[in-house]
Amino acid sequence: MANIDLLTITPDIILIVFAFALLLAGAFSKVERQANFNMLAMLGFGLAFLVNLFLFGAKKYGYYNMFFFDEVAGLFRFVFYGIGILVALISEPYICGKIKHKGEYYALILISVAGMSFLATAYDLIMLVLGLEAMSLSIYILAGMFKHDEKSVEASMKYFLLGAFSTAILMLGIAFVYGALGTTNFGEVVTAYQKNLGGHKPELLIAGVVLVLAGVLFKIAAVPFHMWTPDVYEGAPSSVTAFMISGVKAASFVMLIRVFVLGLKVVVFDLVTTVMVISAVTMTLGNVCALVQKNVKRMLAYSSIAHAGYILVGFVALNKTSLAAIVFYLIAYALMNIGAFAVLVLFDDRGNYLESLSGSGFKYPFLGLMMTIFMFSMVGLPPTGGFMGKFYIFKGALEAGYVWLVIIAVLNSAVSAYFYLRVLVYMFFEDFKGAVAPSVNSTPTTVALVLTSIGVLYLGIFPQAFFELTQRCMTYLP
Amino acid sequence: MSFAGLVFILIKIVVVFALLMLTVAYLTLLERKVLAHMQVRVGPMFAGPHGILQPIADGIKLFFKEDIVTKQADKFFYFLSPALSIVPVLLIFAVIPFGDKSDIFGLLKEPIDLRITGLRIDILFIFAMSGLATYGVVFGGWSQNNKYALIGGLREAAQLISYEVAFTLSVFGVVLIAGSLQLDKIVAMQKDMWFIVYQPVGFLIFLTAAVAELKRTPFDLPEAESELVAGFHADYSSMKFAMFFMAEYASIVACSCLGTILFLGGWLGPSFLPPFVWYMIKVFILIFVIIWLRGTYPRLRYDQLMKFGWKFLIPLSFVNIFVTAIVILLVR
Amino acid sequence: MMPVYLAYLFSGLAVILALSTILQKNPVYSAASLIGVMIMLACDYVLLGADFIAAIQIIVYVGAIMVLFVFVIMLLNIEQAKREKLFIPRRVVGVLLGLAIFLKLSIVGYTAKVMLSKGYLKIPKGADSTTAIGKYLFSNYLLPFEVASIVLLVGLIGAVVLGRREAK
Repeated sequence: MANIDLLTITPDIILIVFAFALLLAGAFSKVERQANFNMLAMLGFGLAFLVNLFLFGAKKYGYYNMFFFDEVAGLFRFVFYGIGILVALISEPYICGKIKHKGEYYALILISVAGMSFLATAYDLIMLVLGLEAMSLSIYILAGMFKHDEKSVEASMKYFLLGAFSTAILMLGIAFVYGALGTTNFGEVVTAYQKNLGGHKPELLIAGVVLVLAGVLFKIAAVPFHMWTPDVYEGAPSSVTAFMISGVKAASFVMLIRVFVLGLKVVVFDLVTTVMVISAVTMTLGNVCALVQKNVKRMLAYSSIAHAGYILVGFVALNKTSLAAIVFYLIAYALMNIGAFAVLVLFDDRGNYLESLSGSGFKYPFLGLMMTIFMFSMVGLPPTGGFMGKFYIFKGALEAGYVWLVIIAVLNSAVSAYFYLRVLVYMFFEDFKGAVAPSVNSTPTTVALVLTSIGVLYLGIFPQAFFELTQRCMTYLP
Repeated sequence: MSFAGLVFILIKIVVVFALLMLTVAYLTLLERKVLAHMQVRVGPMFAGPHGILQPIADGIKLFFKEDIVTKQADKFFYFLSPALSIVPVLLIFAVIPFGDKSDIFGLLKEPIDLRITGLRIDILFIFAMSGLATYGVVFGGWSQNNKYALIGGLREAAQLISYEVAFTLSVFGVVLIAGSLQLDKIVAMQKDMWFIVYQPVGFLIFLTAAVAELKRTPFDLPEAESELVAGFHADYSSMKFAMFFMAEYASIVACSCLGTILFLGGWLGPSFLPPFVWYMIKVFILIFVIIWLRGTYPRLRYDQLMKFGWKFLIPLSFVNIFVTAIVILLVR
Repeated sequence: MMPVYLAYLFSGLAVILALSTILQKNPVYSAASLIGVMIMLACDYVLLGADFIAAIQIIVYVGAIMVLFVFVIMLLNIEQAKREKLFIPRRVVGVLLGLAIFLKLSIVGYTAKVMLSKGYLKIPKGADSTTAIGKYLFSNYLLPFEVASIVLLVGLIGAVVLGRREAK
């Protein structure tokens, strides 16, 4: 059963081919003539998206069971490719003139998305690590792309060192799991568990699983592995931060779901209590720290920690509704974050501080409106995707009986309204000081803003059809 | 392992070591003589007829020379480096075969392997040891706290890294054809045709990279006398110097043996001469070529060295492997 | 039981050398200790019958990567590291937690019954590990092998992009 199935990984091959093409084009063309590189990258993402549309719905094992393409993987591929398109859209006006390696910039985004896609289709711990590394390594580099900006270099270095540590921990965990089970393949875990271990869970296995969980939680940025988040998200170029905050978050959660719900499902119920505590602490800490931030990027970084906490509630509940809600939430979250960062990107980093945003809402009503939509969605106010995402997650958790966790989460959401809405207060109720102006060539970013805002509103107003789709796709639990 | 087996291996080690040291000693004489005749001189003539005892005289001289340890030297690595450079080279000879199974002209009842031992990964072992040998020079150069020596050590590190890749890749053409990493099997595969016929480009890359690995002219930048006053061993004297020297010549022998085994059919040859003699002839031809290069080529400049290694030799060796693999795929 | 004692010897030396790597003041000594660690690990691999991995360990880590480390250390002529204060009160928590995890993992590892004998990756009788690794790399692990090449490429791009000097 060789099942070398090139067709199913075609989208990723397309991405990698486009990455190579961009690398070569970047090496052999002048910087001034690289303005249309984002179009090329978008073409790559678009093609991959189409091919995935064609593949979607199939269930296929491939390459000696190294990957397993199912509806969850297909759905997440759409998410990643979509994020890729949006990030390519908002990048060009922002990095133009600041980054000389445009070919490498887009190539790394393409490869990173390919890594995420491998992560989503992985059916073996080895594939998982390699997908994770393809994604993370690219992002370490992307974070340091502003070489003349100290903060960007610091972000890159910090993320790289801590990320390398977390991967080492993950690898140690995988070694333990392999030692205990004698296999790394998800398909053989249950048989190995029953045959080799006789249905017992030795400490070695549990230790390995906990280490793997630690590695995954690092990428999710859950407490106590969250320390890198604010510095990295603040220091990295804003377009890259948008990519990280949406793409890496989604990829980490698909990793969490695939490893523990699809792969090592024999141990998942031993972890629920731990994850529950982590989830509660994570959202509280994220929100409390976000309260005092003056920098919007930093505030969004802490908010991403808080959101990670909310999404973990879905993992704790561990039923079909809650897992489907995770996917729904991640999509809504990606849209609103890319949107919010698109506004910051459009202001060319001059609007990163709350003070400097003063009055910009009435001066630039379109951007003000957009920011309002995204901030409402972040808080979780109807009629936005953020509201429906939270609603479904909490619904799932209530079905599973985690009332206290939901109460903590709702209280946290209430607290979070303060710092999200403060952005709007500054934008609309302060006098304009002339600190910000949108950058000149802003068409692609505007397109991205329109797309994301429509997405957020659509998910908020007509969530039913889409949520049913995610529920139908989430086949891991009965 | 039985006691007798242990003694047997020990005897083999002693024999190989003695032969090697003898070869190394007379290699110095050979080099001086060959160079001298190339330059229409006569070379050493006084110690014995035609200077035949010169190596022994040199040895005695080195042994009784004052052992200088400079004040600024880092003592630990200063003492360790000569050993670090010679031990890996000697270890390489643990796996190099000198002939087929032989009963040594009927002296023994059962035929024995003419090698100390064999591994399943002979070639990889040799590469591993040649990688280790770098450190003797690098740390030796650093430990003297002397700018010439340091530059010599740095050059050695950069050069080794650059040429090790081409060196390794050139050998893998042969490994692809032979389908084995064991040296005796590779020789046995060459019964009909020497691998140099199938791998002419591989052989040339091997020879070039080997000369660079050996720090011989035209690639002798780590010890360029005229600019670095002997480079990495500038401050060394007496037996420490002699150990660096022996390591260098022993690696010439090792490389020649490896080239003979991989490309020139090892000990195989027409039966009017015994296999071991064929082997020695081929090894000495390669050694002569290496000395010959020293007599004829000027030293490269440093950037030329790097450019040649990275932009020509490594791509060429990749092409070589690629073509070899495709041909093998088509033929089989 | 000889191999077991040898394994303890090599692993013990590896741990000591690893400690020496992080405690040495002189970066060259640290690098040399790290080289020692790599060699000891290779010895452990030999005892486990993984001779190919052992050779690759030496060739890649000792023969290439560490040479570059040493090269950079010497080229930059890094001064001896200043002896920083090791004991800062807030580090105590970290040290204690680290020790606790270390102890727990050691106990778990020591008492574990490793399932390698029942694992599904086996070297067939009579074949050497090189052949087995080659077969697995181009069958079961084909896709990971290819993805690994992408990961390495990303590392390469990163080195060029971040390391290249740009005119302002």
